[in-house]
Amino acid sequence: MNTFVAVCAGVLLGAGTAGAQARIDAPWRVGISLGARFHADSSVDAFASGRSQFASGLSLSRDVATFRERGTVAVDLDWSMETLDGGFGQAFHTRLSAHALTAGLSVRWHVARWFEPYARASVGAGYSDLALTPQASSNASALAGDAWTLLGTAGAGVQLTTGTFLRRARFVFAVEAGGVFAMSQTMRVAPDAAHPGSTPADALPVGATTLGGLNLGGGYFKMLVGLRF
Amino acid sequence: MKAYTLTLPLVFAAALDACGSASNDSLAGPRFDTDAGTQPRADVGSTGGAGFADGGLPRETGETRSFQTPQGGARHVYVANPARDHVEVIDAETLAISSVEAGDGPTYLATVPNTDTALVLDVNAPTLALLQTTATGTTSRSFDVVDGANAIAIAPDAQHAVVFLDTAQPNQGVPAGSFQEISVLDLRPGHESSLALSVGFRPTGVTFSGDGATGYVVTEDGVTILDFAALTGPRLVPTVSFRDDAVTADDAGVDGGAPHISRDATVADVAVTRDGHLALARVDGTSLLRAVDLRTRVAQTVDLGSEVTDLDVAPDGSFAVAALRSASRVVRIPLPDGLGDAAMRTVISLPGEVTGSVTLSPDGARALVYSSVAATDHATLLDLAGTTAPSLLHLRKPVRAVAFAPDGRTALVVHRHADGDAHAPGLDLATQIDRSPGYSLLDCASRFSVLALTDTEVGPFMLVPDGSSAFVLLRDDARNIARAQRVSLANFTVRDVLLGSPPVSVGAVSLSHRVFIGQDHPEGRITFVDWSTGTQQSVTGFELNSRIVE
Amino acid sequence: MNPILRPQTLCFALVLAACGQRDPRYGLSMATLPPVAAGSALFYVQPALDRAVVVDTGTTDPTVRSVALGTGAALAVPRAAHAEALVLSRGERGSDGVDPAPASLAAVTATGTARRWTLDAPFTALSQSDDGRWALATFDPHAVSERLLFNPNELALVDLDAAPSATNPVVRTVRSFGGVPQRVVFSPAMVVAGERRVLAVVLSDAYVTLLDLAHPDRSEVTVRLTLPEDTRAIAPSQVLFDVENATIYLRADASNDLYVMRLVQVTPASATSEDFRPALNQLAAGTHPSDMALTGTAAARRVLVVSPGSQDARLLDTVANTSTVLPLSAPANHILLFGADATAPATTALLYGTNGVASAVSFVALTDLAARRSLNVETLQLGRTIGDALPLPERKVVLFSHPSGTTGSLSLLDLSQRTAAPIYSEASLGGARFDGDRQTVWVAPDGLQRLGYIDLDGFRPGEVRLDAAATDVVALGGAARRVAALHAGAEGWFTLIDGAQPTRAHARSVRGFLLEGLLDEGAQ
Repeated sequence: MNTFVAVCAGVLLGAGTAGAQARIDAPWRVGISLGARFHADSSVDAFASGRSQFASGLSLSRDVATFRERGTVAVDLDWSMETLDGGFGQAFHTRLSAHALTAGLSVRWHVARWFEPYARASVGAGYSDLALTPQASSNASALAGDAWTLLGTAGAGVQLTTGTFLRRARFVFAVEAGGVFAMSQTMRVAPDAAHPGSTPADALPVGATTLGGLNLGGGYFKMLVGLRF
Repeated sequence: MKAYTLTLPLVFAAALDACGSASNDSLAGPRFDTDAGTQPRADVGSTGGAGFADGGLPRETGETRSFQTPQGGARHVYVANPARDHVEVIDAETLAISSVEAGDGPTYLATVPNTDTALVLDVNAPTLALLQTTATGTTSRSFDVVDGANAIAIAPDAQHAVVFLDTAQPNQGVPAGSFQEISVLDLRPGHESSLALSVGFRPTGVTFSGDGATGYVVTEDGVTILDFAALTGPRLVPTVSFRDDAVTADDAGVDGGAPHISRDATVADVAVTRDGHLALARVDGTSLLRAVDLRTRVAQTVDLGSEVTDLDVAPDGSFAVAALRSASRVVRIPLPDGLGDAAMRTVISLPGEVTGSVTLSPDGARALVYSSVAATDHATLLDLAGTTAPSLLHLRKPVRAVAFAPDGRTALVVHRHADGDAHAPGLDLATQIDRSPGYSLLDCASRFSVLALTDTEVGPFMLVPDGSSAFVLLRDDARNIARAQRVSLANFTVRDVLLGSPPVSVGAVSLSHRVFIGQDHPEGRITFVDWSTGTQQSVTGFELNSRIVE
Repeated sequence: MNPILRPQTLCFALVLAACGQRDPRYGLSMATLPPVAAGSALFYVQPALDRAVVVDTGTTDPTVRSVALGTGAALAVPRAAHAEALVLSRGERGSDGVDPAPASLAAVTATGTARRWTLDAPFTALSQSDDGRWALATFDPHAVSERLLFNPNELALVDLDAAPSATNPVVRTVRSFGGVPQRVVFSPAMVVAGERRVLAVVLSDAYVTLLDLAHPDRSEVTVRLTLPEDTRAIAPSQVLFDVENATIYLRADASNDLYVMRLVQVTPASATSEDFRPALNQLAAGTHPSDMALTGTAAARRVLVVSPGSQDARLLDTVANTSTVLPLSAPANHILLFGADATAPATTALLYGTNGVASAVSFVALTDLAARRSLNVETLQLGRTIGDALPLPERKVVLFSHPSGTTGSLSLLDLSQRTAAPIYSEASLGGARFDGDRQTVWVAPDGLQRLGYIDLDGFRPGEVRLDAAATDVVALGGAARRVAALHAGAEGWFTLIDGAQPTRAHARSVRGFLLEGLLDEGAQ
């Protein structure tokens, strides 16, 4: 941890004394993000043993404007997902897959050629897909359900860019943390036709069961690795 | 639970006649018969077993009474409960039960006839409880008595009772009590007391004079005379021996031509006449009778010429009847004159018949002659009061025991049966009858008899005081047989009385016209049957009612 | 996850995770006690969650409500004569981080309301009077105590029609002779010592205890059934009440007697003593009597007893203490009395033997039975031994199941016609559950995704295909004739069948109700 802080401090100091260097002309950025999500709402406890989960995603960004020589505004399209495996009631295995597709706006400040802190905000939609599998019997049918919601994020990070290769391409590395603000999703489950167990194909119709509101808001941390070109 | 697990006894009113010793464990004890004015008499020196008196036949047998069964009074039945130290008193009409404390281990019961008075001996202490039941309840009074006492005799006037140790009881073995000590109880109101006395060796029974003023304790040494009026304090009481204790030069011979009683001889069938003047006994295994004048203590010996196998004395004491089995003869001896004058005796010959036992009717007018050991289904009815010739009766089965109804008009004969299954396939009727238990009913006037076969051994039975009916108990636990048979002595019809538990005893409650049947039940069960109508009621759980806790 | 990134991610996650812990409620078991049907509702009690889920099927769409209960629910039963469920909770003895909580009894309605009475001890058994007014909480002698010390003779009397108060419930300890209460039977209201009262008869080992519910402050009356030195295992097993004569009849295992307790008035010994006392008598009842029934009028009361050990029936005159013995061609261990209709006095008794003891039944006409004896007995051969029986006296029908090797079979005995109609089954009916809604008999065989039924009007059988095997079938109350076939499933699942139209098309599956509001309740 001390090493990490020392490196960050050194970078900042170095960037501050570097003077204004030329902005990198690589408006596009694609990347893969890996990180963690923290969920504040207890509704998540039904599907996971802990509130923090691993998340991954893809990101596509393009610089669209500059300002004050150092500032860059970019728009991005970000997709992330996390999978929560757990169980509740000593009766069910659960698998919750949460996807978030957001469109964001980020503002970077070119401190050094290769070092750019930034702030980012995004809005988008979240989709949660839930499967409940009974623990007791393999022949029992599972219950499944899904729901959409609106969400937004706000965060800040640091982007690092390498030199070029293949004439224009550069590696980019970013670290970002912030908050996720999501609306509660009403989760309803019903017998899963894909996993009927011993339930016949012409099973009697069963109304969905409302499990209640699921809120995946909280915090996030991610590291992005990608290319700029 | 053991409090109500009773042995198989006989019952009070159905006294049976026998001579010789008891050969059955369940039949030991004081022996009673109906031909001595309902007074008991006992064998002296009887040792039981199967001695062979003549030509191979064993001694004649009899059936006895037990004191460990419920006893009936005038209206109440008394049931001893030694485990609880109580006697349950049951009202035969209302079935109300009351429980009375009665010493430490009350076990042996006797009731005063036609009264609601009971005497109960304790086994864990030398005490006796006198229970008297009235409309307001039952009172109890305790007396000290001889240690180990297990028998009670009550005088006909109910003024006195004698308590003694009867060593012939099957459970005595080596008793802890004295062989020669008795207790005489004065039951007169205001004079209740107990007096210890020494008597002859091993008393086996007690009889009383007709007026109850004198008691006679039959012992191995002879008869001890109890003059109750003179028993005001401790004293020695006279014992009159049946033996001839004079020492002679020739022990085996006869001195001066008179029959000589060996000092080792045993006497049996000791009886005392109602007036108390004469005691009579037979010398076991001989042709001799021994008669002792209890007033003068002069004894005489009578030789009847053939072994005497049974001896009965008429209820009024006017004559005696002796059975001479090997001679097929019965001799009627007027008392006292017939003892000395052979010409006064009436000899009744019954050639071809086994005349081992004789039973007199309560009025002495008739007698049944039979054998309780021989394999003969014959019996002979004698008219002792009239001139009717003896009637030979073909009873179809050998006789085990005989009892006359109190009015003497009918008799109940219990039969023996052959070994083997009576219901085995392929048997002829005669064999079936031979193997089946049963009894016969005899109308003395017409000589008509009815054979009633039973599916199990005939148990205790009784004839009710008015002679209208008889009750016979039948029990077989393995086959769930638990019933009584109510027999009408008017027409000899039989009705079954189903019981809830195996029956063990039967007795009568005179004032209530009911018979009570004691049964083998953990908490105690008695069924009362109206002997006229046959209606029955049962009461169970005497003790439990007193253990309800609030 | 990339091993290189793992440490950083983990560190950050740990930091973030330290700000929230999982709600422990989700780790609790969702298991339920056996569902209880009361009225038109089904009650699922989840002990670990301290709640009951009530599914009211009386509405067009079944409504689901969650009701909070006391801690440690152990027993749920329908309340007699009421559309409620009674839930007995043992409370919490307390541990690290867990506060102790008292035991309680709750009455839960179909509308989701509950009344709760606090009990002083963690009782495990519940008995109630037929009118549903009284409940008696006791300790089940076969249940695990889960307590360091407890007194098995302690009990609590609850007046379910009264609100909880200092005097409701009444907790007391009854007298013991070394035994513990095995079962409790309530008497109907009867006049004893001039006062109308209800008695609770507590059956223990070799004795019974009478509790006067009209005067719970008075001392109890204890009646021993054996003497102290008696080692027999006398266990009272059946109790009948002769209301008109204020008499209690008791049958006990290992006893060949019936115990008759006539309640007579006495002068109380003290202010807390009872004003009545039982006068005890015992009636011989054959060998191993197994069932009894009261017949006759109040003035001529008789007890009919069957004794398979002696293969007879006995009519006992309890006043005269006499008995009429009826030898039977076929042993019987049960009695069913019936009359011309459901309201008429019983004129006939059906004697039958279950558990394979007999293949015939006996009809006994009760009129002049003591005089006519065997003339009043008619034997009907069924051709197969009887395994179990479901009497439906109001329909004058008895359903018999017959044990067989490969396929099960049933018989429907028409009590009026004295005919037996065989019903065959393709599958074994061993373990099948039976229930009757008085017009139809429902059969739920183990492991079969079908529910069988027999219409009692014409003895017409049929079946309804289900989506899953039924674990039980229960008749629901309410205006409509319906039954619920219960299925296994932690989410809660049953199929509603319309008794008037028992077809799959008219069936409805209700599922998942135990998950209702799962996420919303988690944080509570």
